[in-house]
Amino acid sequence: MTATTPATEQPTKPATTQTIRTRPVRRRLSVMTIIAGAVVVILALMAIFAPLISPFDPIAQDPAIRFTPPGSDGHILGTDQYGRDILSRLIYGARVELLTALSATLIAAIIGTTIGLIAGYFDTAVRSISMRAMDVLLTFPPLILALFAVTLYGQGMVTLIAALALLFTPAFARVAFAQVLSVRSLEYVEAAKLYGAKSPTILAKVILPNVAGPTVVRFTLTIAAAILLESGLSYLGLGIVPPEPSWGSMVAEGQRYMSTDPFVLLIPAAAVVISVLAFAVLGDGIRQWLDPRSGRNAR
Amino acid sequence: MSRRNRTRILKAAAFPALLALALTSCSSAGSSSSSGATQPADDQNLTFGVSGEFPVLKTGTNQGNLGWTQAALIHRGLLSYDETGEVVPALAKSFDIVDLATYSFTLHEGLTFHDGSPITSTTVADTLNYLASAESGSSGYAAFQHITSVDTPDELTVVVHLDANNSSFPQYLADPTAAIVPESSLNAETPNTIGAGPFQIVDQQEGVGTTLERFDGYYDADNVQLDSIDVRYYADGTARTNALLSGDVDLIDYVPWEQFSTIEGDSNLVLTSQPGPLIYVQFNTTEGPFADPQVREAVAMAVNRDNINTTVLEGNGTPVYGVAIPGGEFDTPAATEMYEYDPEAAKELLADAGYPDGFAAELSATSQYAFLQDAGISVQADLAEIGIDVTLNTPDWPTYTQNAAAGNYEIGVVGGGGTLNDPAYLVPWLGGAASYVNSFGFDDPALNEALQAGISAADTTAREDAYNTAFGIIKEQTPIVQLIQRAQGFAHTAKLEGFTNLPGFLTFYSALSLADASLSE
Amino acid sequence: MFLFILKRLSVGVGLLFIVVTLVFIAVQTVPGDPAMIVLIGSGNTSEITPEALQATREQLGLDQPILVQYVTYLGGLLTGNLGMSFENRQPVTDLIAARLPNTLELIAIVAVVSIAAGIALGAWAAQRRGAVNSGVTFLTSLGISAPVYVLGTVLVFVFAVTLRVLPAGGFTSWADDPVRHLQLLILPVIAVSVGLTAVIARVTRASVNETSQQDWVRTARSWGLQEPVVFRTAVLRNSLTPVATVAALEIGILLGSTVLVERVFSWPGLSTLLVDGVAARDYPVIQGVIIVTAALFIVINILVDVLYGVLDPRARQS
Repeated sequence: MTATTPATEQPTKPATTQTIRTRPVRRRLSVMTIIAGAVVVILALMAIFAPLISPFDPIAQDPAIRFTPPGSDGHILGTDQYGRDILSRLIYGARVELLTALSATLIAAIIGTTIGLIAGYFDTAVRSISMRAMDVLLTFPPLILALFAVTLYGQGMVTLIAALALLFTPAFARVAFAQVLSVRSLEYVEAAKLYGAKSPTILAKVILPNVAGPTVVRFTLTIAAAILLESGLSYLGLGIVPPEPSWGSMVAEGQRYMSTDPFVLLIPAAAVVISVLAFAVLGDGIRQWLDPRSGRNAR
Repeated sequence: MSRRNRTRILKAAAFPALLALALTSCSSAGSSSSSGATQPADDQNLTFGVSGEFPVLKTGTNQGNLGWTQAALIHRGLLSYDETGEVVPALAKSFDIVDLATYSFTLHEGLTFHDGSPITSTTVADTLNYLASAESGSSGYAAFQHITSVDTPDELTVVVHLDANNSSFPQYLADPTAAIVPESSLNAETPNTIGAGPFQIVDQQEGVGTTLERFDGYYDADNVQLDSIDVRYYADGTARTNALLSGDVDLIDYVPWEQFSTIEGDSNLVLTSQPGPLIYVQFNTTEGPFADPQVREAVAMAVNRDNINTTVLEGNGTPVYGVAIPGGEFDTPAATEMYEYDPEAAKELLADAGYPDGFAAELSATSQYAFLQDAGISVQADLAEIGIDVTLNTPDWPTYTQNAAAGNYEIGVVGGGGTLNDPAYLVPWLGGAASYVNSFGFDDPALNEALQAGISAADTTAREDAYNTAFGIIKEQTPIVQLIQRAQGFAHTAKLEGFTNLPGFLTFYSALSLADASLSE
Repeated sequence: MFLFILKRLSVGVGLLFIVVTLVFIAVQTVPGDPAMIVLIGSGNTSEITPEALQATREQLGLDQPILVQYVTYLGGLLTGNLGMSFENRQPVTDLIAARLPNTLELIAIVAVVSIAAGIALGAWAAQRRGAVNSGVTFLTSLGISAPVYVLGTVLVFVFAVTLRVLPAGGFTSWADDPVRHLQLLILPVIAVSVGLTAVIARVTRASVNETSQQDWVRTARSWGLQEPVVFRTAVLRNSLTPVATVAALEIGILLGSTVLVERVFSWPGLSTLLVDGVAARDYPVIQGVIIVTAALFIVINILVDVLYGVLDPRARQS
């Protein structure tokens, strides 16, 4: 399972392979990207306004109406094995998923980018130590690190967020690191230094804007990976603690009733796929928009 | 891409596709229907899909469902259970209840273990003495610790002396964990793989399965019809059921409740299920609101067992409103009809106890067993109805059992089966040493006395009286709240004959019946 | 070249050492008494006496000072001894040795299938424009986004339960029954390959496009060489280095995350051992699996670095 990065960054290539464009290229946002963006916005709204738009209490049970098929009166997406409304659980699940994924990614982005910036800019032992630390983190396959964290600190959202943040930090560090390296040797940075500009100024004015783009891309893609990883853990029963709804555990539960009432499985499964897909496509689209040279490359 | 490249790629893709196709058609066809004829098949090899990995057996200890299944196949003790749950002689050809504190056994002649070493009365005595020792950690220690001596007047005779009457003693001997084993296995280190049972281990593959073959030196080898048993591990319930549905295996244990109707709808398969182990509520009785028997009684009246039955067990459970007594002998209203589902009355009780507005607490359950967690969720909803607001804490099983044994909880939902189909099973549940099966801190001397009186009573009337006294105390004190007996289901191909799901708590020992089973055409 | 490999190896060993230490420390910080865990076992309701607890502690070496435990552990690692499982007192090395080949086999086959299919797909897509290209983008996105446990479940439902053409799960060793062994591999391999193929296809396409636009490739074309020849000799071969890196990374990740597929298909692999160990708080097993997995991961990365160095001499300078 491609748990971390849906489309990984290449390691730093030697600078000589960059082509030079002679004509300015128009930046286009593809239709797919816009649709993906819309989906992401919808998900975010769902998550934020969950208590307002959710028709029922997601954990209220009503055994009398269990397995009501989708499309029935009052329960658009049907009810699960406890008679809980699936739509409500889906909506609250979105909140859980996005909260976990967003928090983890934000923490990873801040810490990782900072490490990458510092390591890239300063030529000292700081660089080797911090990048080696990132390497150590990367020797742990993602799911294993997450499982380890759960073993040590128990299940729950906090452990998950911490573990996921730890997992994704190196990627951000590498992105920032690579960008800094490629920019700082540019002539106008050299010139700025000659003119006496201080490091923080250079960092802020020159390097950050260049780092921002790829970092945003990495951010979106990481959210996708976080959702995948978290739902996988919840599927194993080691993620979000019930009865708090989480799409992964909904899939695991639904799997038991696959032969008789498949919708209990398929609906949350579709939710996971659609969300991950939306973030992934969005990330790709942003990347394409930022770097039109990649044109048909859409990695 | 050029035509040449395209062709090459197509050819490259065709090969694996063809290979896959060839392999799928190689798959054994689904079970061919047979018409009722009970002709024994030529191939008496049974494939048995079990719910997890066979543990490495440690002599005498309780290692759960898979430990018992394995023991029931490769081990035998002095006594055993037949398909109705009655105690019958096994390695002992006959046994005599001299009195309720003295039991005499006569062994079959020429008994050997799987490795050929002989079984004599000394071997038996050694095993029993080990089981009676504190460091063995034996599952039947509650009974075995009362052994004062094991006499061996001759090679085939064993006489066991207890320091107090125990009418259920034979049942402890029939337990698969009380099997007679070679001297070399009488410690906590040596894997207990050599036994005297109908089947012997031929091969064990870590994570995959165990292969067993009939042991021709078994005391009843002539009646064992299966030549071999191929045990395969399927930890996931759905995967296990699918294996049965697709014909990969002949027999499975622990049928998930949501698959009951699917299997019943298949005419080639047989589902056999028994109400067995219990789901019940345990309390920390040393502090907080749950130290008050009235509060505990309120809980007993607040839980909607039918809901649990529907949502957790798909209607395949047997609600319990008192204490369940499998085996039927003491199955009286005094035992089984202690409480009614009455949330209003429960609220009144709470008010009486000083909690008119309810209170908040933490409910523990384990996330590792879905049915226990689901039951916990259901109980949470029911308690909320009477004003007790609980937050759920669902750690994994090892953590849960540790916390429970240490009293680090307020109220918990737990499950398990008794050691035997007899009120005596309640002893460790209602007192005794701190463990995860009882309510922390609960110890009522009058109840203990009544239970012991029942165990050691000489005749049935005396036992009834003693147990009725005990039931009365239980109703008053509500040390635990039994909620429901879950249906323990096995499923198998219709071609398997002679397999029985043993009643009550003995359901986990059903593999014993495979000694009499066979496959028909 | 030799120096290069040596350097990589020493870095790898260093990393492994750090990993081992971190894992050891982390396990020590956990509350709870491992001796208690061992004794409680799986449902053991017998009374746990303080003597038994102490005896178990001594048995497990828990009564020694931490530093001694650490050194003992390291020493054990060097001789291949990873400790004894809490749950069934078997050597962890044996447990891992029994399961590792199964996971490796699954991963190896997935790798071969995905790399072949992914490169083919990516190379093909790189030479197409417009709708086809966008279609491939979308499909690969879908492949990457679909969780493997969903794919696996649906595959089992369709092919095993409904159509009955393939077994539902389980494992038979090659020695016992080669045909069935292969049959049991089909569905798990498909489930995992979908995602990996998608990733590789993407990287291949990007890389091929990148290389195609290089000046020297244009030069080759201007020599009048046929496009397919140019593609094979110049473009394809030289665009494979990033593919190799990504493939290695993803395969390394698979080492740890096959658990979902192993759960669905009852495939007795290493990940399952880990998850079961986590559920039972079996620390020696957990430690052992993490260390072995990390070691393999490091080895794979070293191999890729070497491969990278072979394919692209410029990389050897770092």
